[in-house]
Amino acid sequence: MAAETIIQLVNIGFQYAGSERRALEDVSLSIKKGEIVAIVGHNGSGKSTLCKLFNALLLPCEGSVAVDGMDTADEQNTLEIRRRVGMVFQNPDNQLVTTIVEEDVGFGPENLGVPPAEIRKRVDAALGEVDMRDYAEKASHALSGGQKQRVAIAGMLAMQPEVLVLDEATAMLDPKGRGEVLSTVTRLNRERGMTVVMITQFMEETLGCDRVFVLSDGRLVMEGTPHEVFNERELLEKSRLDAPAYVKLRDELLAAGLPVSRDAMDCESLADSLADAFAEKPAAHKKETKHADQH
Amino acid sequence: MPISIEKLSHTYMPGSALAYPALSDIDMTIGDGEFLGVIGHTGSGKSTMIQHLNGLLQPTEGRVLVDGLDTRDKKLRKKIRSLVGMVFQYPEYQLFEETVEKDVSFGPKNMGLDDDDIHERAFEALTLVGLPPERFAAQSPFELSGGEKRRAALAGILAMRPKYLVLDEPMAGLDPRGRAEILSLVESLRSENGTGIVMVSHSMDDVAMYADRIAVLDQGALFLVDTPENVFAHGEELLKMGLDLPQATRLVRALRLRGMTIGRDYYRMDELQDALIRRWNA
Repeated sequence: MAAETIIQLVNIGFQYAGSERRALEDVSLSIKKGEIVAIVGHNGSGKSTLCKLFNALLLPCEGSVAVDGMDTADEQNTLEIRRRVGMVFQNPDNQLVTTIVEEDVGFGPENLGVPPAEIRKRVDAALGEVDMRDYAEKASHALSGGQKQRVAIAGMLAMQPEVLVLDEATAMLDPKGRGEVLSTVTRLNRERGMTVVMITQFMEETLGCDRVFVLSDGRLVMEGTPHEVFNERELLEKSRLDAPAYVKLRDELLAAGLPVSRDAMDCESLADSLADAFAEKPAAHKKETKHADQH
Repeated sequence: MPISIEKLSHTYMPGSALAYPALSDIDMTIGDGEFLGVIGHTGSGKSTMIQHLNGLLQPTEGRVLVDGLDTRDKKLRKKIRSLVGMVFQYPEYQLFEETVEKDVSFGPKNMGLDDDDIHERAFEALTLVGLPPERFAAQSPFELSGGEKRRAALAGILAMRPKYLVLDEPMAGLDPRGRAEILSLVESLRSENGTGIVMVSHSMDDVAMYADRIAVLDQGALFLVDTPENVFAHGEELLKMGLDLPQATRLVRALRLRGMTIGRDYYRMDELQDALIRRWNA
């Protein structure tokens, strides 16, 4: 049985007041419950606008957005939609509201009326997920940008939303921080079935996603598995994007006659494939020569 | 003359209960026209260190000399700030004027230059960053795309014709094309104008590709400052600090784990690619 759709966009058009350009033009897409998807696109392609439609922060000028069947244009649904779709934005300084880290993480559940003992549990668990438990009693303003962002993500996790939308939430983190956030959302997706939508400029971050959506100038120009999308090198280039470095290396090696697997997209799979190719190389050559001799 | 950092320590809110030692005992020289990459885990002290390079922060101990000028001397600060251009993270958030030209002129104006000179420098800087002034000078900075805004903000610093350019994560948040554009701009400032570059980056691939030397900060201390080759030879230590390795270095490690013998380390993808193809054709 096909999984239930959690977010559905039909023929979305959007234009900011006072702007002459349409931020989104005729975008239709659906995201299923339990999926982890990525949205990529150049600066100004409409990614952030698109994800603000997911929880009624913006309403479409044309077309409709439904979250779990609820129309975001109907104000009566707004609260319920926002409980289900948690957003984490790029700039952590705009998201922390209190002075102490654990109070900040507890702020959301407190507003939802969660009992104090349960808030305590959620705050501890959420801070643990983002590796910030040691900072629970620290002042939020004294944290570095990356640490603040992890606290902001913990704040969302503490509200236990059904869909977690990360709008370039890893952009300001260092590699370790990025890795932690990525593995956190991947685990939330795999183990708790949380639907995850990640907007990112790091193409390699999308490799673990079920599907990748590519936006360019407000239009959805491609949709597919990471493998499908990163094989469309020309279209990516036209959209001001780029394939991950290992995919580019793979293609260069293939072009030079090195028989690596076309499925290799990351370090591990490319290393597997390269090691196999080199292991078989001398044997294969000799065999061919022998065959030639025998005939 | 270089920038020399001598026994630099910095403590935030010293003497208070919140006193926080961010840097301890840093010794380093940044040469004229050098491209220095600065890497370190979040909170390692990178931002604190670079804010000392133009006197935005004062050493708690030790000193910083910019071309021999001590940043602790208030009277020299204006001169030092014209020598060392500082580009913070997301500099486009600081754009505020009605037109791109006015914004870019802000720095030179503060330097007390006359109008003709200011105009010339603004146009020169806009040309340098790839925003042709005839098209962009009169535009509102807020109508520009993300990558264009970043470059306009950079032009504002370049219009002061700094001898050193300090950049804190200049590619953060840009799309892949935008990142490549900023990197090649920074590299051409160095190779064509001789501008010394200090670039903080989380991208090991970018510093591996462009930096002459890389400074590695760990918990407020300088772990190492050396060539990319020598720095990335410390793979285990870097990983322990929560840093990444260049993608080429990671692939070499993965290949060795699979039993392949690879004679030397690689930190640039283009060099590794050539080596693999040569090996295949051998």
